[in-house]
Amino acid sequence: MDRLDRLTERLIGDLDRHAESPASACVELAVLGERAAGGLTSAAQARVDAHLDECLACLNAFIEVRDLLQGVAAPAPASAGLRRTLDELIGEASSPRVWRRVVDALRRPLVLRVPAWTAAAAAVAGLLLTWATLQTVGRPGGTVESPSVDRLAPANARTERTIAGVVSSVRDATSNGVDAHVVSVTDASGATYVLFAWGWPTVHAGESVEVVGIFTRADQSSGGPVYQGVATALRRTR
Amino acid sequence: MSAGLLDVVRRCRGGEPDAWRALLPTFQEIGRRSVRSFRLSAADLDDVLADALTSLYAGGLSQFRGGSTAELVAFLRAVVRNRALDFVKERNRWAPSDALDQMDEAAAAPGGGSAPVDIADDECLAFLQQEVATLERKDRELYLMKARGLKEREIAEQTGRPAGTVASQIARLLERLRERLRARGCL
Repeated sequence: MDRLDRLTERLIGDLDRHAESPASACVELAVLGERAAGGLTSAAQARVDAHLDECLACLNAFIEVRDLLQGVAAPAPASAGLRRTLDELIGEASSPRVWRRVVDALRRPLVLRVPAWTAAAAAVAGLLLTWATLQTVGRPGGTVESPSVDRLAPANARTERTIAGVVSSVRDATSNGVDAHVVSVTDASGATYVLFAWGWPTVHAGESVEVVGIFTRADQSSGGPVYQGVATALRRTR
Repeated sequence: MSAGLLDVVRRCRGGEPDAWRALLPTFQEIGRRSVRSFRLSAADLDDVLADALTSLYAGGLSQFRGGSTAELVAFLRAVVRNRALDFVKERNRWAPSDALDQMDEAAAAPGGGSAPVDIADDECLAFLQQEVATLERKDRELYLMKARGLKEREIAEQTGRPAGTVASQIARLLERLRERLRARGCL
């Protein structure tokens, strides 16, 4: 591309921009279309031609409209790819490819584009953060050192305590790929403990257990006392 | 076709699949002609047209307010060109920096750096516009058609002149403009 080509490109760009906001003396697009199609009276055509002789922007617009109308008059058959796109739009609105195009078309003017490497880096950072968090949280140990059983006093103590009771239910609480469960235990006094525990359940409903954990009292308007907490160790007592 | 095309568009807006199928070849032809100057590959052109079609199908066609075929083709042209501009911007955004540097250098070197006198682009552009304005109407048309990326065969079809004549006329015309720009110090 030499300098004449580059200057020409700029000139055409300037003329196109002019066509988007034409001067009041300029010929309307519809009239240019009529002129290209030969649909004007001879007087109107002479008037339009006189303007086209003087106005490079209008001549440029006229040439483009004439070219496009020529395409309308004798279009080539649509390509297979374009026909497929239309078929998907018409017949398979649920097609993922079509929806991706529709979503892209809608989001393009709305969202900030993020380079692929930035997205990849963010994904890796997220994975590392999740891994580090899991390592920090840790898992319950295998055995409970002290079987000394006591009731919670006070109930909202945040240090580790051991309680004993019967498992009333075990529910899966796996989240985001992290295995966990919730155990409900009722002790001899009728107090209920709802405990979150990591990993797969090792106890079942009806079993007597000792639980080492951190507890706090849950608000409960009626019934026996209820405590909630995190179990750090669970073991069957018989 | 012209009144028929507006009717097809009206039916498309009503959601008639057959109308969309009837519009497709015309849309493709208008789209192809609208982005000639972008010099897209066939695959890229297909992508641009598919995106533009999806946008029209998703409601974009209802934005058309005109009442003539010329206004309709101008509307479709704008939709496709906007898609093509997005596409080119996106492609350039991730172009290797070396390539961009080379493009910058090329743009900064008028005439590939061989011009004996370097005149600012704006002044040369104004001079070129003035030179084009002084051409005869038929030469002005030839220049603009060539500048818009029309092939000589297409120019011949639209002007009714033999393709060989068109080719030689364009070659002479461009050489004349180059001489004028060279004399001005723009080349």
